[in-house]
Amino acid sequence: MRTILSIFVLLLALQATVNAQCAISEKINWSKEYEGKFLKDFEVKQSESNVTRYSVILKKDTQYALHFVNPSTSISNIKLYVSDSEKYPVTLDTYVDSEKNSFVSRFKVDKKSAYHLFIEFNEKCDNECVVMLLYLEEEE
Amino acid sequence: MNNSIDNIFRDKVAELDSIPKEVEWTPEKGWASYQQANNHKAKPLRRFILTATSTAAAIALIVALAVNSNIFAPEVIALQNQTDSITEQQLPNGSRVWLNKNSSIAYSVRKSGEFTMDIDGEVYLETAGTAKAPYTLRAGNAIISIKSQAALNVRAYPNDYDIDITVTNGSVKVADNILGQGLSLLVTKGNYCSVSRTNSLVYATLNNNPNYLAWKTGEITFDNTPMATVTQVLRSFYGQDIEIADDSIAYIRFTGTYTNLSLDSILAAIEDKTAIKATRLHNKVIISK
Repeated sequence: MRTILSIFVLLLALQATVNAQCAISEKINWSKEYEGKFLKDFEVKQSESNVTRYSVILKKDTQYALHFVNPSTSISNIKLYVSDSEKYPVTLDTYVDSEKNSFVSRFKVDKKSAYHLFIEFNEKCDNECVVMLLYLEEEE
Repeated sequence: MNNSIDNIFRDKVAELDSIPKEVEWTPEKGWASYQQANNHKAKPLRRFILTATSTAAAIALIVALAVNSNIFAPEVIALQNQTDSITEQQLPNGSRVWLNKNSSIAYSVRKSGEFTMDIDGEVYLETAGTAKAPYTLRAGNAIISIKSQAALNVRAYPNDYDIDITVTNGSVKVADNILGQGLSLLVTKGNYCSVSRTNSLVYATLNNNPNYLAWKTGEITFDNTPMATVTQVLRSFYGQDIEIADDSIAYIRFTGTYTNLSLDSILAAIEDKTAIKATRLHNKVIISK
C-alpha cells in the first residue's frame, strides 16, 4: 500500500514538473518558430479587478498577433479587447475559450495612436496565469 | 568723378563776374537745379531703407555667429558614477537625482526653467515642486516629459533591450523618438512604461516588480516569487551570472525580504527554505536540485 501511494505521489510530482517545463519550452518554441516578428512577451497576472490593462502605441495598417500560453492549464473564459483613449472597443473584441493551453488572436488598427489592450479574466487564475507574446505579422 | 565735375562747375560759376539782368538765375538756384537734375541728393525713404537693411544684415550676422558658437545655449553639466556605490546629487532647480553604478547624466537648465537631461544607465529623479517649464528627459530613444511634481526611476543601460520607466509619484508622458514624438503614453503613479530600443514598441502597465528600487534602497523582496524571477533579480542586483541548471526549478516559489545582505547570505536563505542548491562554479552560480 505504501509503495502504491509513493508511486502515486511521484506521478503527481512528475506531472507538475512536466507542466512547469511545458510553459518555458512552449514560450521558447513560439518565439523561435513563429514567422512573425517577435516584439515582446508579457507575464499577465490577474489583478484584483480581474482586468489587466496594457496601454500601447500601435501602428496603422499593421497586423499584430497575440499568442496566449498558459503554463499549466487550458486557456478559458478570457475576454480580450482593444480600445481607444475613450475606452470604446475599436478592435479585437473577443472571448478566448480554448481546450488547448495556447491561443492566437490577430488585430489591426486604422490609425497610429495610443490604445488600451484589456485582458479580462472571468475565472480565478493562479500566479502568472498566462504568458502573452506579441508579434508583428504584416506592416504596410 | 562726380566730385571733380562739381568742383569744375563751382569754379566756373565763381569765375562769372556778373550775370545778365534779364536772367533770373543765381549760383544757388543753379546749384539746386544741378543737384536735382543729377539726383545727387538721396531721397529720405531710400536712405531709410538702406540704413534699415544694413542694420538688419549686421544683426543677423551677429546672431548667426552667436548661435553657431553656442553663446545662447545653456551650460551643460555632466555627472558620472563610476564607483561601486550609488551617488546622490541636488540639482540647481531643487530636484534630486540618484545615480546607480555605471550611470551618467548630462543636464542643462534654461533661464525659462526648461530642464533637459540625458540619461545613460539607471537614475532615480525627484522633481522639485511645480515645474515652471517642462522637464524633458532623454534616455536612448525614450523621451519623458514631466509637467508637475513627480518621482520616477529610469533604467536605460545601453545593453538592455528596453528602457524602463517606473513612476513612484505623479505622472509623466513617455514617447518614442523612433515611433514619433507626437504620440505618447501617460504613465501614472504605480505604473511602468517600457520602450523597446529596436522593436518600435511602447507599452505601459501596472508595475508588479517590488524590486525596481532595490539598487537605491538595498531591500530585496520576494513574495511567492518563481525562482526564474528570483535569479533574474539577484543577477541584476549583484551583477553575478546565475544559471538555473534544470527548467523544473524555474517555477519553485520563494518568499523573503532582505536588506543590504550579501549574495551568499541570500543564497544560503534560499537553500535553507527550499530544496535547491546554489553552487559557485568558476564565475557562475549554478542553481540545481
